[in-house]
Amino acid sequence: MKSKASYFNLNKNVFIEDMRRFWGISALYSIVLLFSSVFPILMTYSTLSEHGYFLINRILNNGNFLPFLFLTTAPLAAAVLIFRYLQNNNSTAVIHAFPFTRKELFVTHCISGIIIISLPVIINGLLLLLIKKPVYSTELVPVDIFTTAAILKWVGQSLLIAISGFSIAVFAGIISGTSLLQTIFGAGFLFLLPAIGTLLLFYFDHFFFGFNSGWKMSQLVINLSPITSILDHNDAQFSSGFIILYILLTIILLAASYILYMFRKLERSTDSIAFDFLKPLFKYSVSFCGMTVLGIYFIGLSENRIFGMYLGFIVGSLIAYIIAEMVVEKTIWVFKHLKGYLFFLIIAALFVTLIQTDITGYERRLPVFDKIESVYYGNFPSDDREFHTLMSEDNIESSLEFHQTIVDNRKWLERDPSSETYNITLNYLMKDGKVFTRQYTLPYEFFKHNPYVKKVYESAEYIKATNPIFHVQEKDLKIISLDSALLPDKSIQIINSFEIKEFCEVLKRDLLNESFEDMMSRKAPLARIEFFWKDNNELQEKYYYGPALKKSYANTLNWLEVKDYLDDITVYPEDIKYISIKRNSENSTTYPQETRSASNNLMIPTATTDLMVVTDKEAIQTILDNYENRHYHNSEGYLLTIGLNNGSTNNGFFQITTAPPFIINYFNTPMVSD
Amino acid sequence: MIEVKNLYKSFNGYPVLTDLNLTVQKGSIYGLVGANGAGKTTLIKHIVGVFKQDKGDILIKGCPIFENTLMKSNVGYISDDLFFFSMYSLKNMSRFYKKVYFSWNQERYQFMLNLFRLDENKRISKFSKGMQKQAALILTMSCMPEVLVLDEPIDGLDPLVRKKVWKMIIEDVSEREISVLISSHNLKELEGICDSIGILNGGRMVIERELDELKSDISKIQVAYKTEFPEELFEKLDVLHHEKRGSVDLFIVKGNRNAIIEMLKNLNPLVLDVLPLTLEEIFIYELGGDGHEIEGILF
Repeated sequence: MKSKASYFNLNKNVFIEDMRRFWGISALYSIVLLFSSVFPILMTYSTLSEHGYFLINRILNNGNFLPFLFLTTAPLAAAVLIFRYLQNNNSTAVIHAFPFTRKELFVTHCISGIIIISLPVIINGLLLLLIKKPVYSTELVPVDIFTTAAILKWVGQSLLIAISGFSIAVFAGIISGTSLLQTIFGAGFLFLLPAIGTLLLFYFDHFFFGFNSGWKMSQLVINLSPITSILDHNDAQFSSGFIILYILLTIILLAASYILYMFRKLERSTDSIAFDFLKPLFKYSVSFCGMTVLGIYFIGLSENRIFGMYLGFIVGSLIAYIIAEMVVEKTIWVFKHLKGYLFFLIIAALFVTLIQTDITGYERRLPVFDKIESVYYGNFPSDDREFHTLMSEDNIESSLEFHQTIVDNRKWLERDPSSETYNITLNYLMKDGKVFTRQYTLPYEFFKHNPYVKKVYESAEYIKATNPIFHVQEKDLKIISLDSALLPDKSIQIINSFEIKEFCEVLKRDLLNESFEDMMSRKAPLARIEFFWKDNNELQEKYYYGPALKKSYANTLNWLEVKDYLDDITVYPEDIKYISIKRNSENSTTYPQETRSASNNLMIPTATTDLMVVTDKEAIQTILDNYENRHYHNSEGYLLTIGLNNGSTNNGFFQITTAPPFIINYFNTPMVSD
Repeated sequence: MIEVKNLYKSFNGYPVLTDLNLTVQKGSIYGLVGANGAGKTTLIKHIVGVFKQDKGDILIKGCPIFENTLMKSNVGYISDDLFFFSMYSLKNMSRFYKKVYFSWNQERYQFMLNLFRLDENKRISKFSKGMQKQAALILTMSCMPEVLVLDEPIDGLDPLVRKKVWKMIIEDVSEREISVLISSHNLKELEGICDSIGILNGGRMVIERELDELKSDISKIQVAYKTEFPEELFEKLDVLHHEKRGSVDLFIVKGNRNAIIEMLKNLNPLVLDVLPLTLEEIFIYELGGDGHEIEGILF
């Protein structure tokens, strides 16, 4: 009795049998692709060129739900079904008693699996090539999006996702001993790298003071798996770096699966994890996830964040460890086998300690002055190199000095419980092209009183960099609109080009002369400024909100007065019906309520010891001149509701330090320094 | 043909087969007997090249079987728990076997199909357990293997089919000199078929004997004398067991049967009968007299 030969480790008989048994996956996936792409295209074929943009765009970006679902689940299903014989004692014995080597079995099953999941994509791609015709995008300069290149890109991208998903599921099948776990692992591993990345980002974010987990970092993490990459942005364009990464991962996984299959003990089928050395790895990984997830959850729950986090770490890891142990041992009676958890605790404690001790000096490190090209100085995480970039030596130096004060004070800044915080991102673009980035959440007061920040903020370079008005050609401006902050009815439009020019000049002068203290002041501005312009090259109207017109902009206010505009945007005590005031405390952080008559007119509320009602014109003027429009939830102070004669209301705020004496006296509260 | 030398295998650190030796000669049938959990199936999965041993050698025709497709194609194997591709009919399965095994014999397939009266177009999963076993037998026997390994093959087969199966196997052994290894938890099943018997307990081979040798070596004799049984005979005979039933003495004696009978006849017995011994009895007495030990293993 002699076996028929196999060629290049592909066993023809096994291959044919795989095809015969699992062609259904291919067929089903093909039907789904056909119904969601070729059919809808053919049905609207005559008007496709004009109206087909969204349809084609969705198809070529895997944006339809069902095809995307199949793109992710068909490889998993193929791998689970093809390698199902490994997860069952009967089939393992019978299949491996046939005259095939494990190498033949593995190679053949992988090839047949890849063909089964690739065929539908290739067939659909060919059909699309056959029926393609120009379909233009809706952009100003329309581009044909239904091209050979775009279709081939779709085929390539889909194949990459399908084959990498298949290799993940095969790997899951080789290391696990049941089809259920293979399915769970196969699906879970799709998200493994992004998940690990996210967990690590949490630790870096939490323990590395200054770590910038900004947009680029999270994008990197999301792109670690093609699935999350597609889920995150629908028009996914895998960059060549990530394409290489996915291909490499696929090859590594298949190679690892092959090697593990060679060493797999077949008696391990029906075990949860087929390899002993993977059991602790599995248990500790699950524990690590449990620890982190519950740690994050508990931070949000508890008042004492540090205590909450560590409690979350311990509880989370213990629960996860027990669950992992139950999965591995396939029994719920695992409580006698928890010795390994102690080992995990030691490793976890070492990990957390290591991260806290900052042995690499991450928290202390500063870039060297001479090597800095420019610095981005802003309050949202960004690593955009062209934005807010300061290049003057003075500003670079001041930024470094400010950075130095943060680093020097990091011990208490990290633990400062202030509720009023200020986010600052410092991105240094180095002369060698690298980016040194840090992001801090600082107590507002620390930021506000820092002399180096003052120096930077008051520098012309910074002011020019942060105010787009300095970059707009005044001759392009068509309209400048000023709207009162309190009363939107009070608004003026400057349309005279000469006046526009003059206004811009005085405003720029005020902006350049503005003190840091005024910049940080929370006083409500007088009006909002909007600029409208038309670019020479573009037809569309553009506008943006300029800086608020602050009460401290003397030159601008003066110009407005001279031009007789000021009156039209100023709110006077005569416009105000009343102002009601109450204390802001931990128990009560809501603004005083308004009451209205049956005809919807505002009614002046009755004053109580807890509620001050101001109707005196002089007092109202004082409030209008000084009230603030920003407040932090827990900060002490006074909450204002300003009732206007036209029936609308607005809110305002005073801090203890900025409130006029008559308000403080009314509530008769002892002075508390801010 | 089949040689197992010093086989050692452990599962999760616990030994399941220890220092195991076994030989099945060409053209002979070997019965592997043991209670559930004795290690029969584990041993068999080593012999058919499914499990890899921790220590020792498993040779088929002198070559290691593990990952050896050439040797594996010589081995026909019917597992304890059967497996067929889902949704496949016997015809589909036979097409697969035909492609995989060069020595496939279509005539035998047809012959056995008729013999067992199975519908080859029906899905195997719709067959009863006994019919599935028959299907497995048809497929395996049609491959004309030189080595046949059967794990509990007659479980679920009715006596008539059982007889047909045995007949066919014995024919193959005598005509083609194939080697057969059959496992069973019941010694009685194997009586009259096997040339050798090995008894497995706790992963060890407790005893391994050729049946011809055993049967001619141990005799059950019933004897009665006018007077008391002459005591001096006890010293001359290798008595494994002695029982008194009234005036009749029952002996299980080891040694040359004719010589023993001659010796007893010389003392003019009133009665002298040689009684048939079952395989079971042979093993009980061979293993240690009263049989309690072996009863735990076999029955």
